[in-house]
Amino acid sequence: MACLWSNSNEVLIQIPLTEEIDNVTFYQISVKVGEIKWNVKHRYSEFYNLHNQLITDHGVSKDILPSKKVIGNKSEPFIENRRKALEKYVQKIFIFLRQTMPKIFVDFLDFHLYDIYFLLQDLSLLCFTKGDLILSSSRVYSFKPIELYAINEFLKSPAPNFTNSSKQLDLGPILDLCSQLDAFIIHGCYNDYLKSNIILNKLPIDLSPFKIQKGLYLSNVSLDMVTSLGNARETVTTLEVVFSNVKRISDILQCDILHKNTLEESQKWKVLETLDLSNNNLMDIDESINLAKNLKHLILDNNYISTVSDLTQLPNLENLSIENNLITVCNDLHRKIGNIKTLNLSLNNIVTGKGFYKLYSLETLNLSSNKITNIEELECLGRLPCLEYLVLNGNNVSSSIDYRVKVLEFFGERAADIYLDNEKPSEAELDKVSILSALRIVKEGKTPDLSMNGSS
Amino acid sequence: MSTGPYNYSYIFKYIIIGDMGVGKSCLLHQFTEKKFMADCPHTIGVEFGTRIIEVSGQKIKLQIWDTAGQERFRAVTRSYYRGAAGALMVYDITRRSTYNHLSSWLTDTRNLTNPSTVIFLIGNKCDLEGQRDVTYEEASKFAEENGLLFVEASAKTGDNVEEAFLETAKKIYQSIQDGRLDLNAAESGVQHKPSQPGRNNLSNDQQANKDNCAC
Repeated sequence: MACLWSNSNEVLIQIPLTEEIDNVTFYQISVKVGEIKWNVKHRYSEFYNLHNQLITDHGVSKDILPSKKVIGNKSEPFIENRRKALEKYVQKIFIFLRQTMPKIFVDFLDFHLYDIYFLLQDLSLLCFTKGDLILSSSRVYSFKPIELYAINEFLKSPAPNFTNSSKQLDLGPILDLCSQLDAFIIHGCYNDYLKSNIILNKLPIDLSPFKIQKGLYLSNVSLDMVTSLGNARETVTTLEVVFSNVKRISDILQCDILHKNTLEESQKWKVLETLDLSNNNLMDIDESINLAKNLKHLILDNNYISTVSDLTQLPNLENLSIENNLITVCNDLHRKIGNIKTLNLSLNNIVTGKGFYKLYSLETLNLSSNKITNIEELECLGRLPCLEYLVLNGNNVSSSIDYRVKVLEFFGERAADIYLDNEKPSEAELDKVSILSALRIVKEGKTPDLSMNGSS
Repeated sequence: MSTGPYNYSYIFKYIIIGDMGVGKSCLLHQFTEKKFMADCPHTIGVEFGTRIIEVSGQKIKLQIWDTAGQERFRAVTRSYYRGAAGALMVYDITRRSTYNHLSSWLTDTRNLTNPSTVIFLIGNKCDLEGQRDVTYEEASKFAEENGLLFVEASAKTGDNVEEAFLETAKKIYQSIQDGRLDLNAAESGVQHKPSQPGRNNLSNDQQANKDNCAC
């Protein structure tokens, strides 16, 4: 990212091109500061307005801007001449103003988007004016990596020396806001940032200056570039790292640990309750998950996980979601997962419900869009005493005849309480269920057992 | 469609803990089925039982989690302490080692449940008086020192089994009445069942319900 104050001798401003959009000629200004380049387009009238401002406020001499022309301003030779003249003008102005860099000129050349100092100046103003509003509402701020990078760079560099002292950059409001926020959101990007050659995900981000209170949400970031993520261990309750090519959970929970094969006390995520690592490249749930003992919600959707690992070290886990992964077999889940309430395994390749037969605490089970074809494979679900929400649509079995009634029958007396595929059974279905179970009882030659729940 | 078994106003969650072979599953079986299970297999992970009881005119459904006593299942069973309103801690009066381990079970229970959880100590197999290895007096003293309810029971004969489960429920119900147990707390282990259509219940609100019960 650009840094005018340390590269002030390596600035090149040109107007190499013109472009006609909706009958208006735009002059494309290209700014190069050190290695960083960007473009910004302006029409003549914008140059004119800028110039007038600079004359009144900053003592720029009046006659250096090429003059106005009303008729014939569309002819090619005219535009070409004007382009050259404007290029000279903007270069001249820059030399004249580069010590003061008035705001109007900064904005004209988009320095406020790409330059550390001017970007922070805007951010500081925003934090000053809107900070209280953010803190009184969501307490969340979505940072661009470029902003965090700018803060990092500014903190480690000597203060720049622009003579315009009234505009002296004050990081106070930014750091003040940062220290009070509940959650940070950081959205990365691998493409060129706006009209520049800056790539956000190539900017190193150091999270150490920020005290992250509760939530940290990273999306599409390059983890190689993020450092000090581990600082969040003591405080973060919600951690989300999505679309970031995470290959192993240890990449996150042991991000700062070199030898990942030992789990130590100091590596624990003390208060982490929600971990969302959706849309990454996880192949399994590795041991490092045990560093987050207080985890309640674990979301691993859209990865490449093929088995559910032993999660018994997480006594607080209530909600597990491994949607759209590659799970085929899940046997004896009650030996791997304890007191869980919600389990989402939709969009996998599961063929049977048998592995769930002892997950007695389960309240919600989503097995939609799996490979269950045989209704008998679901019988054991009927014995899960707390189950109320069961989603099975998108399986072959759900298009079979009387599918709903047959599934509901497994639940016996509890059928009326079950939301199957988000729908409670209708009266007609319940009637059918009672007929089916009566038939079954007759078939098995037993007398109806009405006391299903012991003495009642 | 019979709604009979579903006419209850509360769900209480129990957990049964204790060393392996003390008779946890048999106690559960005796309570839910009123039968003694002679060849009870080792519990793998966790088992589950349910029964509806009545306390002060209120129908209460007990959801009972019967955990495996084997050490290798300690991790998975630990998660079931969460959200238990009652914990039945079982030892075998004929094996002192099971009694000696009580303090570690108690530590787990205290650490993993909330303060309002009712802990009931059960000395099982009291039908085997001849092989007794732990006296009633010392266990009773231990219970008193730690603020536990205590009874000696036998899953085989059914002695005191019913009482242990019911006394626990009464104590929990008392806590609700006193307001010591917050029904809305996530892990209280008690759920209030919303009223069923057709039942003469005007409000699901906890306060309103309390008033109903009081009269």
